[in-house]
Amino acid sequence: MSHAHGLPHNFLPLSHLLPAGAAGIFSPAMEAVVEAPLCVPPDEPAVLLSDIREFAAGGSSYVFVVDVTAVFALDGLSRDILHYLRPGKSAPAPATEGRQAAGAGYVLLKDIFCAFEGTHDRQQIGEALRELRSIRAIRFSGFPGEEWKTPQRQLPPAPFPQRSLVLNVANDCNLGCSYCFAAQGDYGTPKRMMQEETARSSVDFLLANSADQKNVTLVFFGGEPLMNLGLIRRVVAYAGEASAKAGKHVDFTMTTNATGLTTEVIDFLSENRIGVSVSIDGPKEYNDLRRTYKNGMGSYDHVRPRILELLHRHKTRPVAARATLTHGITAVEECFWHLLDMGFHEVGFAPVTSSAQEDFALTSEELWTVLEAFRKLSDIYVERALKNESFGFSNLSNLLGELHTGISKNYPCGAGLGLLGVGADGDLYLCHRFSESPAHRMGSVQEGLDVARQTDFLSRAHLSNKPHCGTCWVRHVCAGGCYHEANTHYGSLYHANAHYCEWIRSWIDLGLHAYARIMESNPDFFPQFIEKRGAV
Amino acid sequence: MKHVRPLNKKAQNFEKQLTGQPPAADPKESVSAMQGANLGCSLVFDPGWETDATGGVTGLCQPVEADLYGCSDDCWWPAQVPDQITNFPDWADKCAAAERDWKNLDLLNPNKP
Repeated sequence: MSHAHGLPHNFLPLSHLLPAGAAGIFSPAMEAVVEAPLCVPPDEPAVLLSDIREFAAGGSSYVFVVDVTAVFALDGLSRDILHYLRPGKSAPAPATEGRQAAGAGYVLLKDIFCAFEGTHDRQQIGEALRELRSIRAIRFSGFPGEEWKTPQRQLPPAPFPQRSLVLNVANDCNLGCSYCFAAQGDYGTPKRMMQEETARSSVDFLLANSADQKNVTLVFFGGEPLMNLGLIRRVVAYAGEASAKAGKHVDFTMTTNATGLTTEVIDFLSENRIGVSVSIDGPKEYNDLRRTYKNGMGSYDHVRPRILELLHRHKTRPVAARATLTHGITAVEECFWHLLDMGFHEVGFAPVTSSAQEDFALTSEELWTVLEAFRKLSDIYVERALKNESFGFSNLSNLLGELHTGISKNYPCGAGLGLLGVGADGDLYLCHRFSESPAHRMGSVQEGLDVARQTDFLSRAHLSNKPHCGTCWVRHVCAGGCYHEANTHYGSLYHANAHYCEWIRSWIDLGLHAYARIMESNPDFFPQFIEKRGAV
Repeated sequence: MKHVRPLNKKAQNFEKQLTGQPPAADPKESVSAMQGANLGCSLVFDPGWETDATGGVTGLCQPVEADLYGCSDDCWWPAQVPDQITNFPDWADKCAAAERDWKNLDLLNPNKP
């Protein structure tokens, strides 16, 4: 806005004018809090809990400040003050309770002083209150400028830089997995391959719309991308040249079913540092339930030797397995260890909660079984992390990365906001899952992004429009969940995935505990293993 | 801070701002550290007092630093600057570079045409 106001960006030398200390943080009224006489007039200074979630891990107490996704450790006094403010002074709420604290009644400031004066001096109590306020764990009332108002919604700056394009290079697949959201690879539209001209336009579009992003990502997706290997080879070469001219770097990744891997293909992937994610669901008995050829024959025996060779020969990037959990498959640990034993660096699970044919979605009971397995894997993860060893459980690594940074989201993912899917003909879609869906088209790589549709989408998809999320303590971590699942389950991508709210809250609760345990004992784990992943 | 201890990076940014830690050598770094706990201003009630993205006032630019944030990020210029969106769009036209042309930024009297 400063530019819009005609004022130059560097009007004053900022580095010379930082706040000198904490003094500037509190208004005079706030400074008066600790000096306030014990007998303050009723209805005057009072304290109430902000939107927070408290939790305990490893014998210590912590607070997660919901609006800003900040995590703080509490000392005894600050913990006791927060407990004192809790309605009913009950034990910590279970993870499934959406709103723990906000909206609780006011407690008069003098009552807090009275309650703690026996054990702490006034100075300490005042300090703790001020610190809790400064991290927004509590709010004061009865002071000027402390009135509660509804937060204003802010949309992301436009144009938002493009970071990733997911190319549907082959609108076809040689497998016929029964649960596939792409309807066995072709998204219910005529089978066809992306042409070189379209792929080149996609590269040009990505580079031209990436603003000051130095690193951008091209994802080869399908269908089965290796069905169009010739195109991938040419695109990689072209993107290398074009990005060099633009002074940028293009990163390549691919999701494949591994059926098309040969020694030659693997060497190409390794030489070009193409990150590979293999779709495989676990041991033969689970994988072959739904990952079949179109004639119904299971794919496991065919892909296993190819995957082993990939894991052996692809030296430049870690290779991940992506396992889809569908109805009847809840043996998460068995699948995990099987895939890790094969040599995958990481294994990530995608629980299906909504399916066009509902019989593929996990039932509610199955989802909780999955969570218990996630909990066991997370415990092992923490044990390893404390020994400074990585553990290839992608789901937790991703969550820890977000919690560590403290990302506060108003949108669940990058779809339509830095990430777009490109259909075989060059049409842009909200993400790869919406390929070939006219309702979710957002322009094309040839004509450019349909900014009006993007703006409309971002405006409607904003977290503030999701009533289910309004009071939930994980709202800035989850932000309503996958658009595609919502669209399948509720018929609207703007709907929150209310059918797995409790599950997500429990999972993020689990992540917070794991985070605190690792961070307290081995904080070096994060720069070494999490920040390098680049996922956040 | 004595009673709470930051754990994640977002929390550490809070502490940096609250304790007024000295800026990093790189001016760009110092700007981002300043903005760590600053949520910026609302664009809705412009000009005038407003609330931050959480509905409180703690994340707003503090009065003394408000103009600095206004320069450094996409906040609005504080209230003493004329409303350039609706009423005085030409106010800064003669001030292409503020460090050089700031004298051309005149006072305005809305009662006089």
